[in-house]
Amino acid sequence: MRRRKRQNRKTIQEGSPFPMSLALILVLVTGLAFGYLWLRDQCDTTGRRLQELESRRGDLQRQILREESKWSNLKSAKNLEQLMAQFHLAMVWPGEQYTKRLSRPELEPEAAAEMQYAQRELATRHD
Amino acid sequence: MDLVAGLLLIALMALAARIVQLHVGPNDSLRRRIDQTRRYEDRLPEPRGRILDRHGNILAIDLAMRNVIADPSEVLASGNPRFIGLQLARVLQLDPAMVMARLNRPNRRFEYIQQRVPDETADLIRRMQLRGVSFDEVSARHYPQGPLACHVIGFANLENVGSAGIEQRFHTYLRGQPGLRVSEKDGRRREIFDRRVLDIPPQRGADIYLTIDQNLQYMVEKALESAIAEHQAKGAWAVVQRVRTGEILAMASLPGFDLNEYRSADDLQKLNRAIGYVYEPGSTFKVATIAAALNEHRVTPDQVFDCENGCWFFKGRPLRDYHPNGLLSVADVLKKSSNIGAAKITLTMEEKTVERYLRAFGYGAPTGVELPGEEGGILADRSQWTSLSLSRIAMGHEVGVTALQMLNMLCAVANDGMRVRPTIIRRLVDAEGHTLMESKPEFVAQPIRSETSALMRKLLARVTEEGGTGTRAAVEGYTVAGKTGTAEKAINGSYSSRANVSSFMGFLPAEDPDRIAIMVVVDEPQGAFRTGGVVAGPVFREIARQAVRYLDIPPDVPVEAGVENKPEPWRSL
Repeated sequence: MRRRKRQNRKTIQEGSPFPMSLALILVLVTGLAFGYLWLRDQCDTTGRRLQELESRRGDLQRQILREESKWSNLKSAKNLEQLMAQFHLAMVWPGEQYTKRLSRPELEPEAAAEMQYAQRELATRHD
Repeated sequence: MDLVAGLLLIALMALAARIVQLHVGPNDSLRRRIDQTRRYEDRLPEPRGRILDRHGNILAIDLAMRNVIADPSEVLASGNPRFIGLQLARVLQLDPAMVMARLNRPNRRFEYIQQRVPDETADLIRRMQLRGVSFDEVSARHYPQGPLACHVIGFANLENVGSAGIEQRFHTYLRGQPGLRVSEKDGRRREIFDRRVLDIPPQRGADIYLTIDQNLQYMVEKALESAIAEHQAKGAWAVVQRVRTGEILAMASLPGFDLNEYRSADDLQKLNRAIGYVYEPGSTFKVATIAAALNEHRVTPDQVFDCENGCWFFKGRPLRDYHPNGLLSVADVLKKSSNIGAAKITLTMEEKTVERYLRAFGYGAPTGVELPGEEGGILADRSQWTSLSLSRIAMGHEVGVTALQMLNMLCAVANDGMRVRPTIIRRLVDAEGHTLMESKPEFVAQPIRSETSALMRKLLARVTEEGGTGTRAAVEGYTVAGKTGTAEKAINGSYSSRANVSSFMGFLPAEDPDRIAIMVVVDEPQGAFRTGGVVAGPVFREIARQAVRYLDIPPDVPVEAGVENKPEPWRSL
């Protein structure tokens, strides 16, 4: 019967051969590195998105100006006249005998504020 | 073999040493060069402010447009340059030969095919996917109404610098501030957003609201166009102004030009004759001299003068009337526009008095309207007057005026003697909506008293009545006060009997405080009858008739009664 070889207690290793603290640091560093990369990617994505939005805003502002210009052109007297001619429509100012002018009615104090607003609108239109 | 390996090793070591030197060594100049290569700097163009009419209708605006660019070497390399050229010529409405000539330059990499093309057209070309054709974006001034109010609005040149009209006068307000973006760029020359270190957004220029009314302006221009066509005139111009505030509601000068094509217009077309053309006013000037005489109590409306049956020799020189008249009261001198009567009335005053009144009415100096190129007219210093001057100035000779000066004088006569500076700016509003400036009536002088003004209103109203020279300017339902003017033009040092300036100025309703004044001038009308009453009077009526309806100014005379007025209305004063 072979005698079992007795292991030297001094050579026995206790715990993991890779220090736990080092592993933790490595994991942490890796995590941070990945986190950095992820954040970096997020920043890049957000930056690109912001640039796109900036560009879109610029496009929309330009479009607004274009539309404003077109609208201004559409409602010009010259254009309206051309359209009327195109559709064989004719307009004349109504004769004075067909015009009824309203004098300012006597108002209750409560109604005065509303009337003032209406008058203001009128003033803007015809001033 | 060993030798090769050794050499390779040495080369690699040298390379490594160079890399270390580049990264660690003192290479500031090199780093600066790299930084400069990476640097991204974008100057953001500042949109120019808009110009709008009094109701906010856009008259001038900055629009994004595109330049169509070709790379001729690439177009030629495509193997189908003719197709590309013809497509571009068709869409851009250009001469195909011209486009082909530009494309047929193998050594060139950049050629403008057309500049400032609308986005819609650029998109059309983009969809064709033509090889070697690209676009760059530019901001260009656009005038949606084309020629409307061209002399008032003016234009900005290709560098976006205001070069005429409001564009020039208010360039500093309109231009805005450019923005700046500093960052780094990647290998494709695109900006790296997170390296952006500076971002100053551009500031849009201020918006300018004019006192002009787009619709009224259109009516005036149309009436002038008809007049030019009817009388084959050289030109015509008109101004509509609110008497009390001095606001100019319309200012037109024909011939005009399309603001979007200003480069093809000549100098005469670009001239705003309403403020930049000095002419002898003729009889319209009698309003100033007779108002002065009445204000000085040198004459009364009833006072009678002998008009010498149409020819009077003063200091050995003849003075003639268009229609011979005998005895005329001061009121009738104005109504029938007698030169002899006006001269005799003016001669009741001293020269210095007449000069004082004329300067108080604003002659000889610009009115101060906010437009560039305004002429001050000609009113010589009294020391240069001859013994005949007073008799000639009385009927609008020996003086040079602009239409706006004449209108400004008439407005003072109508406005209780108060002369208000004419204005064309209503307000200036910055990009954030803050009002930078708001126009208010600016009192300049009071040449005549309020009572004289009331008297003059009555006397001028008779001019458009039966027997007056301005009956064709009468507007049904309104009392029109005004004066006709016909002046022969001085050509090569002498008066021409063929070329004259016909004018009519007036205001209505004569007694309404919210009255409007209109000045119409027609230059060199043709035909047998070329007087102010015949030529300019109907144009005035056409403008006034539409203006009172559009501005909702109620009539002051019952329609049934027509324009008939009581005789001698000044007696009620």
